[in-house]
Parts: sequence; C-alpha cells; structure tokens
Amino acid sequence: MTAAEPAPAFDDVIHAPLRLRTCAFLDAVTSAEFGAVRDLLGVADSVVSKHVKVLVDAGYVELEKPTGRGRVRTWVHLTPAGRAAYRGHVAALRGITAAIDAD
Amino acid sequence: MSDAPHDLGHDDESLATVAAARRAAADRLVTPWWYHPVLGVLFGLYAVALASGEPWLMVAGIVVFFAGVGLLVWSYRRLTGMWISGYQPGPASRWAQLMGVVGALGSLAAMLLAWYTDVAFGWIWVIAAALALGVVVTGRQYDRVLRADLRGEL
Repeated sequence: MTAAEPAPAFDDVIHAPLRLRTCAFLDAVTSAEFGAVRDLLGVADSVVSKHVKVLVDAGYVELEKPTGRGRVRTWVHLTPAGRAAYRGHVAALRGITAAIDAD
Repeated sequence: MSDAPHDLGHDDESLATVAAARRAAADRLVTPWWYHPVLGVLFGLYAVALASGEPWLMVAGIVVFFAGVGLLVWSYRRLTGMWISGYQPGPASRWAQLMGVVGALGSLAAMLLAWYTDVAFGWIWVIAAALALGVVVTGRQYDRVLRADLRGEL
C-alpha cells in the first residue's frame, strides 16, 4: 500500500479471513476476474460468491459482467469506499500488533 | 466498521494473510513476453504516421494505435485474469508515467523533425525505433517494480 493511508478502523465485514484475502488481492489490482479470486482462495465458486456478496452488500466491491459472445466472465473490483475500508482495517491491525509488540 | 471485540492473537495471522494475498497477485502478474514489444511497435508506428504529414495516414495511425492498445489490454486481461492500471498509485506508477512521457516526446520529436526540417525520413524511423525501445524498457521496469512492491520488497 503506497497511497495515503486512511485512519485505522477495524472492520468486521473485512476481517473474516476469506474476505480479508479477497480484499488484499483486489487492493493489489485494479480489477480481477472471479476465477482469479477463486484460485487465490482455493475454495468453491459458491463460497467465493457468498463472501463477495457480503462485500458487495457493504458497498466495498462491485461486479462487472462484460457483454459479448462466448462465456461471460465476471470481474470484481474494490470501490473507493472498499479500498479505504480495507486500508483502514490493515492500519488498525498493524496498530494492534505494534501495541502488543511494544508491551 | 465496528467496535466489537476480536481475537487479538489472530491479528499477526491476518497481516500474514494480507502479505500472502499480495504475493499471490505478484506471482500471477506474468506479462507475456510479447506485450511490451508490441506496445513499443504501436508507439513507433504512431509516431511515423504522425510524422508523415499525410492526413489519411495520420488518421490510420491513430486508429491502429488505439485499436492495438485496446487489443493488448483485452489479451492481457484474458491471459492473467487481472488488470492493473498503470496509473494506480504506487511506486510503479512513475514508470507508467515515464512511458507516457517517452511516447509523447518521441512522437512530438518525430513530427517536428519531419515537418520543420529537411532531415531524411529514414531518421524518423530511427526515432520510432528508439521510442519503441524506450517503451519496452520502461514497461518492463514497471513490471519489475510492481511485482517487488506487491511482494513487500520495496
């Protein structure tokens, strides 16, 4: 993460391990195909869909389904709010671990 | 956002998860060997077309350039299942910006030389080749820095 860091803010929606991995992956890219997210998580499509839906419902992720011939590939990207929430969450995690290390 | 308590012991693990996901993105970012050479050729042809001064060739050059770049982006997305905009903030973006500067200055230099001097047109091809090389070098450097950034090596 190299953009201006948002204020640390722990986010329960993002903290679930599979959603955290999804957000970390999507933060690294501009957009990714659904299959790439599934490969990263190593779980079934239905499980990915479930977690992506939670992120979509929170306004953190948007889906794109380009129209055209052949198989439709769904693309996923973080919204600006999702990117800010993810980075705030990571900043909160770093703050917590730094505080624990300092004790 | 929530103030709900959570398991502090898992925070280190969560940060390791974040790092692993970013490394996975870096591992998946394998740009096809031909991507930057083709982009360089498109830039070079664009510069030659503009320098020609022939209206139909200039229009054709612009159309081929943008259609070619569109096709390259489509191919990249299809092959890797990912897309990273060169202008996404980060240490690598300066190389994408430099590629844009190289492309713009190279095209402008070719155009000005062809239009306002008596230089042989062969020199325009030399500038186009240098422009193509510059695009390949900056593009590959962009990839290197981007992967290093994602792997936490910067």
